[in-house]
Amino acid sequence: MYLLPLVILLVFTVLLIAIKKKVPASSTLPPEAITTPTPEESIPLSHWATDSGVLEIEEKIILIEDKLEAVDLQEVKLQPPILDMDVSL
Amino acid sequence: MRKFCPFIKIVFLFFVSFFTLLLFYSPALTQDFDFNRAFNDYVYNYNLYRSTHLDYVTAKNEYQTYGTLTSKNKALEVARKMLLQRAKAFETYLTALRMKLKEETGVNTYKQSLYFLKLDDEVTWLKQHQSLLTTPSTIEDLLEESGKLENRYPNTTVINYQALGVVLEGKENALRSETEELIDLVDKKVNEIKASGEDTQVLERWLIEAKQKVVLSQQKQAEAETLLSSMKPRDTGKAKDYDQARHLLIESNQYLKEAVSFLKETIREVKRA
Repeated sequence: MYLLPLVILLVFTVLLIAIKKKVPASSTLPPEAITTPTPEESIPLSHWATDSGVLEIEEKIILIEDKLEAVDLQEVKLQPPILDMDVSL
Repeated sequence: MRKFCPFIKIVFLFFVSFFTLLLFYSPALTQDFDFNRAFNDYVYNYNLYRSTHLDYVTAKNEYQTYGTLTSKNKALEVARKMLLQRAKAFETYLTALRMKLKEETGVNTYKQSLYFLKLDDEVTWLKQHQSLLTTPSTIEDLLEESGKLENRYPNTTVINYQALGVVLEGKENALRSETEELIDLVDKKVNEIKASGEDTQVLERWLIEAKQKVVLSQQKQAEAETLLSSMKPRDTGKAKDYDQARHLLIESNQYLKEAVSFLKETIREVKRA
């Protein structure tokens, strides 16, 4: 008569132990590997780097790059219209 | 009191004329006719055409089903309305195309004048065609007039595609011209650096590469131009040929992008010690 509650209690205890084993004791995350930033390779600049002509060319390059990217070579809306050219009655 | 009368009269007249002017002043009226306006006209007329075309299809079906005099008269009038709108939509399309050709910078002047003439001829013909569409009183006469546009259409389509091609060529011309100007600037700078006694071999090599890319871009555009100019009214694949030409122009643009990236590399090299 007392066997069934005892079995249930035993199963419950075993399950509780099993769950406790699966869950790590502490939920703290492993410490992240701290990467020390690699120092940026500083490229030595020539005296031309600050030359006004060079800077002007650089600006113009950026401008034309944008234009080349933005140009519409489709002109979809100017495709000839679809018109019925086979009218009969 | 009498002394003030003329003064009050003048003030009154001034206000009346001022408000009259204000009433009739409309920014739309003073706006110049440009591509955007021409394009809006075209879209409006094309939508009207589509609506009248639906009416025409319905009236045609009714006439073919019942064959009564009423349905015949209705079909005649609805077809006339549709044909008028078809011509109007096409006319406004050609006008929008002309405006695009006018506003696009970089378009070759000779080609621009040539296609202005061709498009103007078509517009004049379409206007005359519209006035002739109002006269026919029988279906046969109306269809005969309609047939005139249908026969002319393949030739006009060639003009449309070629003019559109000239617009795209213009865009490429403008970009190439800017790239060439940039190459000249870089060239001068490289020569300046060379004159200062520094080694410029790498820079010169990048520069040569950039110039070669521009040449390749020109070649691609020339291929596109040849393809467009060889288009014939009887060709069945006009749209396909135009699309191929457009792709060649996209390749031409790609070469320009590569030329600019070489220039960018040259400047990066210049800045390095």
